[in-house]
Amino acid sequence: MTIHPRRALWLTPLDNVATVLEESTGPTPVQVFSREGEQIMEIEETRVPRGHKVAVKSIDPGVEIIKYGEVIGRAEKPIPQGAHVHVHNMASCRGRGDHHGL
Amino acid sequence: MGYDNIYEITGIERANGDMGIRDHLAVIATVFCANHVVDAIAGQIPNAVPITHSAGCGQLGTDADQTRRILKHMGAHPNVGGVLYVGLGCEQHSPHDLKAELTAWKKPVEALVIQDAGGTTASIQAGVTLCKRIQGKMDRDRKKAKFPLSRLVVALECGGSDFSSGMVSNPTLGKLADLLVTHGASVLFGETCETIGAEHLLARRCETDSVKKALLDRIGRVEASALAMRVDMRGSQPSPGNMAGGLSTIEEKSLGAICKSGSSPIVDVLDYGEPVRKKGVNFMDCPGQDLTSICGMVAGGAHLVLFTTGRGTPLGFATAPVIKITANKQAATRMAENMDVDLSGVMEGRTDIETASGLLLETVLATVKGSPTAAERLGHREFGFHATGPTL
Repeated sequence: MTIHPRRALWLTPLDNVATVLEESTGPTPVQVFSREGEQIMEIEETRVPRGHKVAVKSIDPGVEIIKYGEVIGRAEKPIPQGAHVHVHNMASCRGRGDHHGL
Repeated sequence: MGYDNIYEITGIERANGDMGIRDHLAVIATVFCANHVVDAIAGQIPNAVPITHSAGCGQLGTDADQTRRILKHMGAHPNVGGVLYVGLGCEQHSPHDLKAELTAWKKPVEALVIQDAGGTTASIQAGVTLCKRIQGKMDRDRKKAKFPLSRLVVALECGGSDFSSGMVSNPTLGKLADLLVTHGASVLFGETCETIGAEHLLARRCETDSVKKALLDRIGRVEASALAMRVDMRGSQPSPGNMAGGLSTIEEKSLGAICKSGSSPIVDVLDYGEPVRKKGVNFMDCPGQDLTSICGMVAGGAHLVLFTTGRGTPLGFATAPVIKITANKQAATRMAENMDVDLSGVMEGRTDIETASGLLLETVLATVKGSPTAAERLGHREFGFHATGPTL
């Protein structure tokens, strides 16, 4: 059975994540495209859900996550290329009342 | 330059010169004790909209002032042709005082006090009589006129956001906002919390240093109030739904949210519910919570609301049409009856943001002309606003 590769959109060249645009029931390869429609890379097998972020390169803990060319948070764990980037391995730098005053 | 003639609007000319795009009879509770009576009166009058809430008593200082401002400006609004204020008789904002405050607007306004009228049944009867009188005046005095597009005030809102909001629907809205501003119209956006992480991008668009200072001050205050709760904002902002839809942090949400305001200079910063003063892009300090955000911007003078959603929401508003826009195919399909504009074609590469913004403009012009939005057709007339202080 052929597994259909899914598309992901890489918004700017500064970004270290891309957003997966299609649904799947199991792991698939992901083809990362720029806004201009150029394929940047193909990532082998990933389970990243539709609408969620996939790491386009490996990201070390503490390193800023960049989307839209801007900082959207920091990695809290080592993130390999192709991994799902979300609340389980990245944190916000803002609104951290749980850190406030500590 | 003659731009105005390209997009002329036929609207209702109010006695004080304001332009309306709807002609509601608003029955407004000045306190929650009047809510049931308001609902019952409005239920018997075909054109009436009930406006009920949980405020108007036990409030202090600027919180009480905010309630007063909202109640007044909901009645003053250009989409409202006539008003009945209904109160109990012991509350902070008396219907008679509000009626007097609306004198300058020269529209039919009546006041009803339940304790004077003699309880529920008598008040409903008296209210229905007053509304018939108001509707009669509205029908006799209704005047249509042509207005330039520059008279339009448009509120921009996003709710139930997901990954598609920042990628497609908000940027499309931003393109339209730029076009409207080019034609001299006023555009309002807010949801202050949903600028945290993106405020530097807004700051550079502020027309003057004082606008920039006012903007950053408001954003700083909202973040401070969230921090004072001593919890991680995540879970509230972004919401569980935002996160399921791919938004991991408030920064990510904000960077997508601010796209809806386009790229034109930010000319003014308004308090919640404060009347808009300037043409161009205005920032209003309001919560990210959708209903209260819309309420503040409509009270500030917005004729209609352009509302992007990723997950889908049915929300409408009592006195202003809400145009619902999504770029998420699943929401566009599952909640098709609640959507006005489907931009999923942009996400799928079948069309582009420029073309989509043209489609959005057509929808705005049709709505202004009288075409009902999905929310209006389904009878959504939500109303509500937040408190800023303790209730005593």
